[in-house]
Amino acid sequence: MFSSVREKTQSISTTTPSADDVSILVKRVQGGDIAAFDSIMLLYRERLYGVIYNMTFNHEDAADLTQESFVKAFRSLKKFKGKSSFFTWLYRIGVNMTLSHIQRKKRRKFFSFDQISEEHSLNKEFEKFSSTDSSSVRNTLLNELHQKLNEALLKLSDKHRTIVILFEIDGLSHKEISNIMKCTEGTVRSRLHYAKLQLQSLLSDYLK
Amino acid sequence: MKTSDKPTLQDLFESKKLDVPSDEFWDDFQEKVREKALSTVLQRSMFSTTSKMIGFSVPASFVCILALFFYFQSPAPSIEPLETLPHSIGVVSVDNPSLPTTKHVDSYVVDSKLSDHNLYVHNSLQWSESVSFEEPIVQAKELNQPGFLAQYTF
Repeated sequence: MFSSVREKTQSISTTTPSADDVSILVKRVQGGDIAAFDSIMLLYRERLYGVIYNMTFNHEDAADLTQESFVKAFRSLKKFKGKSSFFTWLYRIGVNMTLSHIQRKKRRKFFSFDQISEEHSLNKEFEKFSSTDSSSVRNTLLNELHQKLNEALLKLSDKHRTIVILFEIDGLSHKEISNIMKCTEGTVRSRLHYAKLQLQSLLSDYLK
Repeated sequence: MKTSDKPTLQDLFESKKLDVPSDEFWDDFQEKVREKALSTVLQRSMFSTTSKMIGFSVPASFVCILALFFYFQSPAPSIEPLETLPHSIGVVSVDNPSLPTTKHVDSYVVDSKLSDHNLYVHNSLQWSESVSFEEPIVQAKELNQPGFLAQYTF
């Protein structure tokens, strides 16, 4: 079952746009071309959404936060000097907004299992609209495992969770993550190692 | 679940990559972001117009208020900074009762700048009567003429 998942993810994996193409688009937006911003959104929306969703485990929040991140990026694009790559800059906006959102949410209400199950039901509803139509992927077992993984990820600290998501799910390098999280590569490596150990122990009953 | 069926942690991460929304979701998403971005542009342009207007109107109105303030605060326009009488001319009183008396003669103020040319007298003599200067003198002289009234003697 999981070998088929691997094949599918390899076929789905998005092609990374060249830095030159992106910088041209960014310059066009800076010059007032709003249509160019649509192209930028097309390039990054799914990846950014994926990161935010895996940080919040709530599709509605993820959709709102991804939208807000793009709007904020659009608003601040004139300040973008190109010192870092555009996607690092965009991801930093998205990750920071999501971390602030999680903190706010935590302050309002401590996470409870009720909430997790509530969000899980929301996710199930959302899956009706999901594009991937593979019964082998979206079977009960996989959903259950996803839920378990989500629960385990929620037990990590926000920073550890973000690093795991950026590295393991989004496939960013240690250096890129260190730029986004504004920490050293060593910190990224150690957090990643610690987070994976913790996940392995939390999911020991379900994993090889 | 058999151990052989169990996934690895990596498999789980890989499978999570498939958890993506549908195309319909993205259409709606794109539309919403575009709307928000456009409203940002509109807000920005409205803000810049308003700020430009404020930027212009505030100093302009301030200058107007300041001008009005100084206009009303300053004394009535007079030629004050004139020097007082280094070249003053004395007041000449004329005791002749036949002449119309000078009711009031203000101090003569001479503008020193004009001293080389014509003496510029700011406050001219103010006569109590509206008649000319010559008329009373001529009349008095006519009356004092000997035999002036002879023509009326019968």
